[in-house]
Amino acid sequence: MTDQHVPDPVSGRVCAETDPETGSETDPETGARPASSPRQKEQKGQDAGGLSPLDLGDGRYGEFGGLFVPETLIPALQELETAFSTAWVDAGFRAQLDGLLRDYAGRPTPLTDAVRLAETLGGPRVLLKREDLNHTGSHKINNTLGQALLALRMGKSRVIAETGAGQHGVATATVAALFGLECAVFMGEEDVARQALNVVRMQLLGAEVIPVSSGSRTLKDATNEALRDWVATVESTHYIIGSVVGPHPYPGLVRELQRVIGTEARAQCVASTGGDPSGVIACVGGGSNAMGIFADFLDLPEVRLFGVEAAGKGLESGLHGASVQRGVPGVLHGARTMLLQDEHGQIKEAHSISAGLDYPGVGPEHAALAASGRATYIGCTDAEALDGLRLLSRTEGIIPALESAHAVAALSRLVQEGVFTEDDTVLLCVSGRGDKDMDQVAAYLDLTGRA
Amino acid sequence: MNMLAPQTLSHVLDENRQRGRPSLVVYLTGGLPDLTTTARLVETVALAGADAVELGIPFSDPIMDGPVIQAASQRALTGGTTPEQVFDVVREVSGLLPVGLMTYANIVGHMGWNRFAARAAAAGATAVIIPDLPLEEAESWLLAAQAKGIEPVLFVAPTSSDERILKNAARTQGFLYAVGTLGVTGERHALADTVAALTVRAKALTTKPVLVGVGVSTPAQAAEAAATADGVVVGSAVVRRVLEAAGPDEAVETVQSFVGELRAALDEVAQPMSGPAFDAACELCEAARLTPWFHEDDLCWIAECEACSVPIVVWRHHGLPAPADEKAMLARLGRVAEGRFGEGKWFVDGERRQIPDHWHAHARWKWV
Ligand SMILES: Cc1ncc(COP(=O)(O)O)c(C=O)c1O
Repeated sequence: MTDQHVPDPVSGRVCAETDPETGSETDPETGARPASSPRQKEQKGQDAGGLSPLDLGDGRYGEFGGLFVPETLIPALQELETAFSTAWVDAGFRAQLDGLLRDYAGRPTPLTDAVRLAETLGGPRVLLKREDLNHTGSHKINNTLGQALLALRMGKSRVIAETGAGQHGVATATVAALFGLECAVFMGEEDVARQALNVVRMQLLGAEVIPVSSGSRTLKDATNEALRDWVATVESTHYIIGSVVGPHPYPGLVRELQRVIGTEARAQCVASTGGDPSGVIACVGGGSNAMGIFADFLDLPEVRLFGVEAAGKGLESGLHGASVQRGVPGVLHGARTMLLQDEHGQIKEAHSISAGLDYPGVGPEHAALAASGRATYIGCTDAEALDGLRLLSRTEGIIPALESAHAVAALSRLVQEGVFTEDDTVLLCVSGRGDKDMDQVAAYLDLTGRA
Repeated sequence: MNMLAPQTLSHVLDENRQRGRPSLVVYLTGGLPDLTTTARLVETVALAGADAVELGIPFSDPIMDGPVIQAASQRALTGGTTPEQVFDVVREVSGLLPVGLMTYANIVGHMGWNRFAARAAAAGATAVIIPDLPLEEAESWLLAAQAKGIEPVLFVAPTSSDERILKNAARTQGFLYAVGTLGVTGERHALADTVAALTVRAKALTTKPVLVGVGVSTPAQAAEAAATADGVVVGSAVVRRVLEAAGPDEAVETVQSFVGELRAALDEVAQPMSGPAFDAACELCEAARLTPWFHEDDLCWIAECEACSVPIVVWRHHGLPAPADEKAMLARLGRVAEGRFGEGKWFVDGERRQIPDHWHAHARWKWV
């Protein structure tokens, strides 16, 4: 891979240019394509006459990705790809999005030097990327602002979304209110119960929350139902997918919208420490906060990348959401990726204390980063995540979301294992704040007799 | 068990179309309410007048299906239904009528495209339908299916451009599955307006049978769809009856009478075509491969004329084609003639001396 960094003339951001992909044949038995660069030809190029459209490639990340959807949706995905790739190099669009990120969402988010946490762990310097301080309380707003602008650009009057923890649902309902779009959010019945606060928020924002009672009644089933709605309403509706999952062009599109996390964090890290971090840690549900903070570091091999999956009741228990570590390749929700499935190809239910990580799949680019070894995926259990949540709360006065608490727990483990030491600087993504989880945390702590 | 090679979907549906008889394909979920009853239901559906059966291998996350087929899939899976067991059902019933399998990409991909095609073919299935495998992702599957003699059925939808309809029509086999309405499977109060628009468009672009599925729920709707299409696929309306039945016997009984009503409604709108599309007595319709064949597609075939030993292009249908088709076929003939006689050293002889009522033309050598 011969990536070069070229500053994007519109945003001043640094972005990558890779070799054009070599045409690849598929393996007729598995449908797999030979592994190639996980980052397919993604170019923010510039020609003499101005910007050429952003090329998201063909949506293949090594053997993963693709667009496995009913014929009905193909034209809409092609329309979305065109709309995004032209909008992304349109200075007016970028200025509007950047303005909203600054004046509405509150970007740039701070980078907090977690001195007491670092002392307690007795290890590296820890820099927290504070996505919890975004409007609505998580990184999800970065994506929904961008996609809502795309919806407007495509002339769609209605948006739909799936949600697990409710954070993406809230972020979608928020931008729908901001732009006067009709909004429906699909949410598994189990998540409606465990994330009640977010249900009220969405309703207050004017969205219709549609409880989904099929299957495991969590994020997977909410996504099925959103796709089914979209098949029926595609002419008027844009589907705002909440993570780097789904059919092409979504994984690449959502990554680009979340890239701002890592771009800011890298500059902030250089400003405060004089160099790049030695490691980056983020939790992985579908993988959007992780992809967003990883993106600008992918071509810096000296920066170690860690994705943290939900190990639920333990990786060996069968009750977890660790699709990268325990899954096998398959097709779900429009993409070929790592999936928790049984021997016949039926998708298994995931388990996690955290609704946002309770998903049997993962973004295809993460599957490819794991396959190539560029990023490492580890698991933290429900109990470890609760410890992580308490640790960050008590040492820094920051109550993270249960999802982000997995990243804190992972840091603690990596320091214990000696992976990071005093000489290191670790960048950790606090993807969201914990308010939404307080009922559940309280119930869990009472149950186990811990304070 | 049937010892003969099963008739293919193309064979049965093409013949129906040539006779002006609308085709009826019935979808059943494999393993609902149980495997034994599934086999009984296929027999029932065959006897009640279905031309083919689409047998579903249940998948945990069927995104193209509405509540009825979701519930059916869930029940079949809870009952422990596996792909192998559905193959066993196919093995039992494939002698009665062509059986297509319908399932999602993950079930097929998990087994492996080649292995799935091989097992489906060995069980006697003649076609496979995968609603979440669009052309963009289908190349490996199409090769695997072709190698095992499985007909892959592809889709078009109201949102498909003419260009996409052409692409899917070129690669589909058996029939072109026209998703009648914007939406997933399920019963509707009325047939969507999109049905007529899509099927008229599709039929202008392909000579393969075009069947409407998704949202064809009643005998009247089936008849209405058959006015512009070559037939229908009925799923949720049948599966709901199985779900609601008190037991296997009641399921068989209600499905039998419902499929009978669908058949009767379709037969009522059957229209022997003006001028037969297929004439059993016509040598050209027979298309016997007595001499070398140079080319064949949806529209025509080109072979060495048995009598004259020069290339002859023959329309696939009995009668006379539209001018645009005629032009396309002559262009095709020209390419063969060019290779045979050399550039400019040939001419088209369009006179039909022996068989005037089935369009054909010869390319003959000319002195320059
Ligand atoms: C705070 C927070 N972090 C992380 C996630 C997981 O999503 P992703 O992996 O796409 O960042 C969620 C999802 O709901 C979330 O709310």
